[in-house]
Amino acid sequence: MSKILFVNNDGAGFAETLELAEGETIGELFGRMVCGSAGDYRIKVNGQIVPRDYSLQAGDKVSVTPTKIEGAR
Amino acid sequence: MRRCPDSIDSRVHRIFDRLRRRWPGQGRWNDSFDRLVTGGMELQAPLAGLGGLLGRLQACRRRGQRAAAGQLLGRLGAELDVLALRLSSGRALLGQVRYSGPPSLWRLWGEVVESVEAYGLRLSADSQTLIATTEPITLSDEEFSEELGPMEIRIPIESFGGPGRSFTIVAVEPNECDGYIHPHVASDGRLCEGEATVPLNHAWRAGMLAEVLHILDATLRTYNPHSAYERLDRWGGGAGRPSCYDCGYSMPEDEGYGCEICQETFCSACSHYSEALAMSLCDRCGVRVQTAAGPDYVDHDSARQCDGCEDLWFNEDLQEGLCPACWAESFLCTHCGQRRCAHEQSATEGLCLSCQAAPVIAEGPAVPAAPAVPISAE
Repeated sequence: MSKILFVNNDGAGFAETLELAEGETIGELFGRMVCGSAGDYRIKVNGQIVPRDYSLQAGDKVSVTPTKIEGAR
Repeated sequence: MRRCPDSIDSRVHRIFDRLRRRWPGQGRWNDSFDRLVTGGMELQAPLAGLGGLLGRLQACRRRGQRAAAGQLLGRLGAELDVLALRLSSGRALLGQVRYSGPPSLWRLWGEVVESVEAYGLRLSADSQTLIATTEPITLSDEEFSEELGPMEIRIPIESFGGPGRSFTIVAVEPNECDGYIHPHVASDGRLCEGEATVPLNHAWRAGMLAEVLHILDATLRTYNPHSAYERLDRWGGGAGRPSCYDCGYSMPEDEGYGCEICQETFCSACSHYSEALAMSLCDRCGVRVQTAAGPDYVDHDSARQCDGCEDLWFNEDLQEGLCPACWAESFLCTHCGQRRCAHEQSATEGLCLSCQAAPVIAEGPAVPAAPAVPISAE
């Protein structure tokens, strides 16, 4: 099985090594791992924006960061 | 002599080299790892017991000792249960094993490349600080939009990955309001992290530089009006304008309303004009009441509950403690003489509930007793 590093910068989630399904795309992985709309996140694979149907490869680093994170004072 | 321009490749190499030296030592496994590899599963004893039992069972088979074999099988079951329990604990322990420490070199390299490409990461002149620059930041809320320009995120190399986060935010093209470059950045450049605290903590300790920058960038691009050092409506010349004493909204000069009780200035949403008293009142000094002319606001001293319906009324519109509607349906009790609301009328016409319940009612309406007249002897 292929493994990737999945970095979830939403709330308390963070990096974990995941096993990929055969031919799994970034869109499918997002649907499997994150509750929410893809439009609310900056999704990068190896630091690059990729199309939704990008097929993930072993060793990829997937990073999901909310576009809005509220600071305080 | 002219210096060679700082190419991206050479910059990545120099930053990578500085960061690599930041983690000279090895990382470490957590306690679960130590327990696992030092016999934490305690498998030796049950495994040895199983070995012995199996040997004795083989001997029983050779000798045809059926009864003894039955006893041994019972013990075998118990030993297998213990072993299964230990294996299950070991599996759970395995799941708790963590390695914390420097990122692998190839991962660190990837983080630096990503940070250089996305945020133009560079080293300061003294090579002690990492400097990343965001794209220009524009913050908006429902009414206001303010361009705050690009921001620099400055991270001292010696602190990166360590237990305490230490970084500052600096405006490249400062658009300040009362000394603040951003609603969530203190005047000394510290970002108040809010929701970013937990993910930042993870990324920082794991040495994931690009993730740290992504999180900070997203935080700097988000405006939280409920917790800002300086509200966004105060930018763009708003600093000199009056602000609502209650909600902080920055108002044009001619939009403020002074409360005549507390003398503070309020915005239209936090202020009310009292028709009954012909004055402005704030939410705290005024209270919503009914008046003969309709709903209104008055000060607390001018509000009173109707004795009948218990609604809050402007006290000058009450008659004998009753609002106009209750007054219209009220009656005078023929026994106590008090004006009573309609719902206080008893089944006995003309009497209020209190007077009907009183024992004296059985003898008829109370009439002031006539003084006893002594009977003349005549």
